[in-house]
Amino acid sequence: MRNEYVPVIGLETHVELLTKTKIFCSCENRFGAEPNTLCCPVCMGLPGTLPSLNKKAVEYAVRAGLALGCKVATVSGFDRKNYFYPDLPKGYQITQHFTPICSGGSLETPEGAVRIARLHLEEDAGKLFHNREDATLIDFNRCGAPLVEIVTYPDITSPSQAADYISALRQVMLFCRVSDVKMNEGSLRIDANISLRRPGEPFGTKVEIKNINSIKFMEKALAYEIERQTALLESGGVVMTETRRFDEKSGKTEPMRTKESAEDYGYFPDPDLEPLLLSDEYIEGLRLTLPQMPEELKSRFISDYALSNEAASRLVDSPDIAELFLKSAAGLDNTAAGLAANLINSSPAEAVTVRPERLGRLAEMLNSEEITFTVAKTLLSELSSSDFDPAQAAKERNLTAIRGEELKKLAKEAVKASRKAVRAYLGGKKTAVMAVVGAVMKASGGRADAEKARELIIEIIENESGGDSDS
Amino acid sequence: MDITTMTAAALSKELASGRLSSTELVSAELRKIKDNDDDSAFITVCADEALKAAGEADRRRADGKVLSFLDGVPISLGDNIMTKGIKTTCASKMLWDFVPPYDAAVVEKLKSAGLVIIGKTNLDEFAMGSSTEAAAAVAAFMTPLALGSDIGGSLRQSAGLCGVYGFRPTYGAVCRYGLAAVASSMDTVGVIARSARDVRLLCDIIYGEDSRDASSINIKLTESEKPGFSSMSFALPDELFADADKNTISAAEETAAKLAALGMTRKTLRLPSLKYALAAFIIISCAEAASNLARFDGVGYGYRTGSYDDMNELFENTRGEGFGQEVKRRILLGGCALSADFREKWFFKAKAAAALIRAELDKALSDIDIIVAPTSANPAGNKTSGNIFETDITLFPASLAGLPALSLPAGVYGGIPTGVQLISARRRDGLILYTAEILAETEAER
Repeated sequence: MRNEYVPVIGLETHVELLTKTKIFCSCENRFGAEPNTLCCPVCMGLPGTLPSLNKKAVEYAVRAGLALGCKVATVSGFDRKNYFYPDLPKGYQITQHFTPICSGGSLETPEGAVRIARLHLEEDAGKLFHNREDATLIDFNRCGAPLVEIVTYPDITSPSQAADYISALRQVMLFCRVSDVKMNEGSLRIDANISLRRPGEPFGTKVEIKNINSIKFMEKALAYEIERQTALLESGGVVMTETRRFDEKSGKTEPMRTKESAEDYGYFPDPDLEPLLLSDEYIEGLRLTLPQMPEELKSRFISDYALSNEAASRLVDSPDIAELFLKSAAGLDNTAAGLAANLINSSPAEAVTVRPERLGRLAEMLNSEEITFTVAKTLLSELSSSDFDPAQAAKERNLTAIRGEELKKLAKEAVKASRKAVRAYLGGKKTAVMAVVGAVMKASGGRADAEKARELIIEIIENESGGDSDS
Repeated sequence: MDITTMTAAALSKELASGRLSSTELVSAELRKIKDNDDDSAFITVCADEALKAAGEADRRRADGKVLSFLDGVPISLGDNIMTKGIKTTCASKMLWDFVPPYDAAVVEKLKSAGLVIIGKTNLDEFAMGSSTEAAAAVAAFMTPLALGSDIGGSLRQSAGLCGVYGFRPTYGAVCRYGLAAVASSMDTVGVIARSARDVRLLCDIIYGEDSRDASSINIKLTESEKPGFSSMSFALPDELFADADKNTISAAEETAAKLAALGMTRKTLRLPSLKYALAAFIIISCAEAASNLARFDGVGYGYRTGSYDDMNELFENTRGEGFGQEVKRRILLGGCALSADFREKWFFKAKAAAALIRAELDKALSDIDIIVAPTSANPAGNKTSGNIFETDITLFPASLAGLPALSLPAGVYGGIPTGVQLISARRRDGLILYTAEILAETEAER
């Protein structure tokens, strides 16, 4: 029997760091500004200008590296990568070729760990716009924005694992707060290397797919390459070393340039920058400030607050949400914490702007049945735009839950008014009771607990009908 | 007395006494340039700006708000030092119309000390080869002070040949921000003046650490460097006299005799690793230049070719038309030295050789205070073709090891001025400047 080809995939990910200023000058580092407004002689590469290293960029790179379990080098350095391109004003990019700031490390995916070879600091280039017939336009705003490039070993064996790796990487970058990793804004960009081989055989010839800007496109591009290379190999052809790009419209990859004459970047240590020396104290100090990573937090939410796997997973979608939960759940018992989690997950975008103690209070009020979930959600929504004391507001605005005799009275009235639904219920259509519950909810203005109301209504109906229901 | 022949220190005294105004001084220098500069020592003469600055200096003096000892004294700058609003060409077609939007760090310092920038002097394209004109402008009395760049020593060489002082500070002592980069690991701003004292006065103004240049360091030229000569020593290493003619040797021996007369001990010194100096200098300087000059691509600023159909033609034609022969030759050599095939064999080997030379000089200079060497081994036969391969080895030790080196005038032989270098350990700039001052004083007393 013939062995199937298996893909061997390695990813190079560029992550833009969220420092206030660029890596080698004091220009603002920001996406979306008017073209060529965030530039100075240094990032424009004017003669005589020199780079001065932004220490924040170093700090962010170290944080990112530590979060990925990398070893941080106490001695690294900056090198020049020489090539001509209109978006590269100096004619070289300052990067770390010979000695990266971080190496080693790994990220877990459901299909296994992906080892990280290196993480290094470098500067971004400008952006070209080819949307005019007569000219190419250049925006130099991005020139000199700090980047880390994270390079994996070829450990990835499927497009879906590649997607899982990028998702996990995005989350880690978000949680250590070094990048906003917005793929649509280019603050996370992927180059994928892929080759095929039969199990046990040496690596095949690899193809690089450059500048992929979404996880979905990456999966499609890799799937297409597997198909293309398989067909090529099975028909007796050979895969060429080349750089390809993914065409979003056709869903296919197409050649950019062959690497037959491999580019020679003439790398050499940048004489304008001193070696980057980091003390163990500095590195360990940053390790201490590192927040818990999403996987860790998720298991902590499950074990400490007895949250469901799903609720915990949703809370670690973003570091702000996770932090909000941690703060608002402080001092709550598990039931109340669970209610806080439900409230947050019901509308995370609103919750994230609410003060944690307010959210905690809402959860407590829910837990003691002072308010219903519906009311809690309304208050949460209001709290997202203006701060107030929810307990006081509930009292003043008569939003406290309707319970006991009051609820019983509403239920009786609703049963009386909904004969048709009651008949249907007694006739065996159990769901008909929900119409009566709806009437109670309406009459209470959302202040009744739906589940309690349902129980009462059933009790009333069954009592009235003399208990001859067949339930 | 013709004021244009005076030292900056003497001019400063005249200005302070009120016998001379900065406007008069600057006008006299401008006349000198106008009448005599047929050989184009200057690329740009900043007559209007200089007279305006001189007027401001005179007003400050009248108000008692003098900015420094050299307030109101004129100075010329090599045209590879960026001046805001004043064309800075690096003597290249590539930057023929380039007007920098910023001042070099050193220009900021000059301006805040009140010096008057009188013009921008010519040089070989991108200072590759010689920058004779900075020294010539001082020697021809067009300016009392000049700044140029010292990469492989052309500033010292031309000072020697012009009979003036030429000083290369310790690497990093003067911020490089705004000096068009050629060989970054060796580029320094250098000083030309008529006396060692003038050199020191100017260095006092332009020295200082600056966060814009990672290699910049703080060196104070304090009085404490005033040498106690009896505990000091000097040496004339054989390797730096290998090609020296007899006039050069006797000029250096005369300087040695004066140092000995001050009480310094003469020691012997061998620097065998200097046999690698020329090769190391060529490879490192060309490699760094190839990378530094890559920015001139016709995209953002500077010369752009008139004919191109695509990106690569834009680059090729712009650079093909914009650079001269010597620059292209060095870029090609440098690119080759950095290529994957030659990087280990050439570039890294050259860096290792430079490290060896540096270590050898550091060791020597931990024992010996001053190295005495010819500025040019054979001044009479000196070719100023700019051909790097024909340059004297005498200039490279300071460049490769980042040491301070002063070329001082040491007599005229057969009508050609001869220079002698004093070289000391890094950061001991004060030592050689004071020593040269004292040598000049004893000379004057004789």
